[in-house]
Amino acid sequence: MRSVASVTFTGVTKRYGDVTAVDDLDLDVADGEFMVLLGPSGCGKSTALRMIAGLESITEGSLRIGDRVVNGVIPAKRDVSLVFQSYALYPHMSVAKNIESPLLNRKVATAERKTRLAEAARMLGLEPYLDRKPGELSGGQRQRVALARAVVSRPAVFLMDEPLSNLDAKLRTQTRAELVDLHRRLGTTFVYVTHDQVEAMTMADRIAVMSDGRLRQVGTSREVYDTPADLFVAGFIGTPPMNVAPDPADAGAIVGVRPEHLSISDAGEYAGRVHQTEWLGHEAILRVTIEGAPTDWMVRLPSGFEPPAPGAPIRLAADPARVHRFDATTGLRT
Amino acid sequence: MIARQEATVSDSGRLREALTALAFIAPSLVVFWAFSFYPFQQLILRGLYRNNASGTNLRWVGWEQYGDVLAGNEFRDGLWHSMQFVLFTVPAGLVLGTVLAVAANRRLRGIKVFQTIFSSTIATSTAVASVVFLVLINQQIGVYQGGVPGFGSQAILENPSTAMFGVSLSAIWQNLGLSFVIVLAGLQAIPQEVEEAATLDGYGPVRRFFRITLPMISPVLLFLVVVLVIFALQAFAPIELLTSGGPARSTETLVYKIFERQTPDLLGEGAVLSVGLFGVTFLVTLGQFLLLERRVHYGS
Amino acid sequence: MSRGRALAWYLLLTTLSVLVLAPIYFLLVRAISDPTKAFTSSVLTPQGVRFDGFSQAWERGNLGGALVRSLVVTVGITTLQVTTSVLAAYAFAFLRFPFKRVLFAVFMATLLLPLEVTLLPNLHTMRDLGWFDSYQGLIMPFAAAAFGTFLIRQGFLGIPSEIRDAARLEGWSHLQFLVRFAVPLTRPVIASFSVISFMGAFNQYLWPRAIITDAESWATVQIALRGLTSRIEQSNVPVAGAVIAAVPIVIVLILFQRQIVRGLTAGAVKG
Repeated sequence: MRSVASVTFTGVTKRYGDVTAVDDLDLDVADGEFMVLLGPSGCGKSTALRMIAGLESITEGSLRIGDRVVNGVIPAKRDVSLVFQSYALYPHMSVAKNIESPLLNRKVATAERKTRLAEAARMLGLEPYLDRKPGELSGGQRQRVALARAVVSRPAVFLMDEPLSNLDAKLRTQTRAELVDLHRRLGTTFVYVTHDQVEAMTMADRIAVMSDGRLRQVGTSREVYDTPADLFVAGFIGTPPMNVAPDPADAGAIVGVRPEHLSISDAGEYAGRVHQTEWLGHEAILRVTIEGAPTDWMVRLPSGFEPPAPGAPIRLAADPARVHRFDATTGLRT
Repeated sequence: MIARQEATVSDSGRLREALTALAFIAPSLVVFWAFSFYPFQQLILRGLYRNNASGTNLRWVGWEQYGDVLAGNEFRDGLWHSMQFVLFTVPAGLVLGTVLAVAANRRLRGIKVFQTIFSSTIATSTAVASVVFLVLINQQIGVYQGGVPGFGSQAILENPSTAMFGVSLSAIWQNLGLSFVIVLAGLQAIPQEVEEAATLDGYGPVRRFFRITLPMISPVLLFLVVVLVIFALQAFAPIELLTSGGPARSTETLVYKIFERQTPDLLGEGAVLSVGLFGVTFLVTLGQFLLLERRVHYGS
Repeated sequence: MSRGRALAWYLLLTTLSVLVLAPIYFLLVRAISDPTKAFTSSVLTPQGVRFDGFSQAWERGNLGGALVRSLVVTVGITTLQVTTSVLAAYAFAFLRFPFKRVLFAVFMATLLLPLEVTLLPNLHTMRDLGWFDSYQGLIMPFAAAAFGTFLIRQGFLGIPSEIRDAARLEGWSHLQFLVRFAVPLTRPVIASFSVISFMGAFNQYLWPRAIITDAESWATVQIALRGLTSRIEQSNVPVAGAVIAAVPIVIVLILFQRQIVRGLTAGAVKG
């Protein structure tokens, strides 16, 4: 049995002096949802997360966990746990003591504490390491200890602040899958902060894209990819990012096409010149200088395709159903 | 509403935090008040009064006594003797500490043994170091009972012209360990690449030392100077144990003169001398801050 | 380095070692020399070897009692300094309160008011309190330390902020955080300061000299050593006393050399 653990931001603002870190944020994280806050560094995502934890005060607006307003509630009484980027393990304590630590202050009986420790250790495969100090563990093992320490207090909301960024690429891929499993098993609400769109796309139920302290779009991976709400989201999601150029037909509009929705065609409406080709094995990326476009356009080509030589003139055609249009002044999707 | 504190969210939490802080600093504050600030205030006040031989019948004289004492022979002599102590011990400590540290900053087998030997005088107290120098230069039991060449045949500590030098010797020796340890730490903090780059640039060992090493450890040397100056200004045991201020009061430093003025009739004068000692200490510390300030701007 | 140059360097190191250690060598020689024969021939070797200087120093200087008193005073001062410094350092590192910067400056200002400066009025205070010849008198003026507060505060500030946040989420009170996290995480710094504080307290001279009037029953080791030097013609006795007086700190130095070096150089080299 557990409380309803939705997280609701209503008009939440965080200011440090003159600097606004989070600007009028409205966001509803549903009970049991895996929500990823995504954005470049300094976009306010970590501040938002730390406000849920109670580590940052709220300047304006209200924050609810379940149906309780928690603006004035101290961190320990919010029923949340947080996995830090650096893991923040206590170097002077054994792994077992680290995992147990959140329980020591919560009137959990000794027997119950031991049961929960064993359960968390088993869940994360840490049983062989319980007597070691964090300094004797590998990066991946430390990360598991941090997860175990978060799991053990059975919080209503799990908060994670870039927990994978200190792992190497291979371990990161593997841990992503494990986090999704963990979420499924626990069934609690996850709020996960990252600047890595791959992490966001692969794990999230929904993604909240932020920039400059403001929420730009909330939606599933597919929604933010297929129908980006504005130019920022369009440019931030997708590798390589969406190609944009002023609409030749409409001065007040900007058109955008993803690299995979372009093809080489003599009848294509975009004329340009090949700048570079990058052959990646499973595909090739063509950099094309387009008249009027602020930056080179990227074209994704299947690997069997023989890319044209640099300098060659070229025409590109876009799948008309996949052309995005944005307002040139507001940047919003039209 | 803008700059709200982060540690706790409510105002009562904020008050509690301040009260916790007060409880945490209170023990130190009480001690500092009782044994540093209150006595300092007493010193200043006491200097404003003169008294009779039994220490009673206090008479307000304003700053007159300050003027008399600070311009008088006692303060001048005491300050001069203290300065002599500084002049003998500080440069010597600086040079010897650097020599020992440079010698021991090598990757050689067994270098740790030499480092331990060089730092060994840390284990001695000023009283022990004084007895060591009784054995070395005392006129009755000293290994060397002669004088300083050029200053007559009187034993070092018996000759008013050389006694201060003799007393300083014990401090110089006792400070060796500390000076060595501090300079060595400075040398070890120099990135190896810098020395290697200088070598590649064709600097010989001597030029490398004066052009690269010495400038890089200059902040550490400055720190050492301040430590040694303050030690020198506070020296007492070697003077009492080696010369008792003599001969002919030639080793009576400021601290020694203050110590001698415990009797009630001399308290007013002693208070002014103490304020004078404070002033000198203050100036030295201030000088250090100004120098450090300049270095910081230079460095960044 | 070539063999020849290494050899030359060893020669230099050995020469310097001899110079540094020579005074100690002469001290030891004199401690076991018969004072009446000490100068009959060479000063380099003990003459008329006798070891009763040590027993005589022990008895005449009442060094046993002095050692016990010195240890009580030293342990008292060290314990109090570490405790008060840790508490104050915690407040200055982690807590928000009014006049924090001013109060920190007040703490540091005490470095300008050493006992050498405030000696006379402090003696007055001792007289008023009746603390001459007492443990309180020997200990209490040193119960707090600006240097320790500064050093340990630096240590506390080095604790990663994420660790503090993690502990905050677990809901520890300040006192609990101090005991369970802050102190264990800065153990090396606190150990360094403890050892430095111990050595400083054991080696104190001016203050005990000033407030001990009854040397017979209250002398610390350093003051007892002074008593022994009053009969300097029996040179082996005070000299043997100096050797005994140095032993405790030599032991401390051997055991804690690393901590001592770190503490002594803490102000000199950053990081």
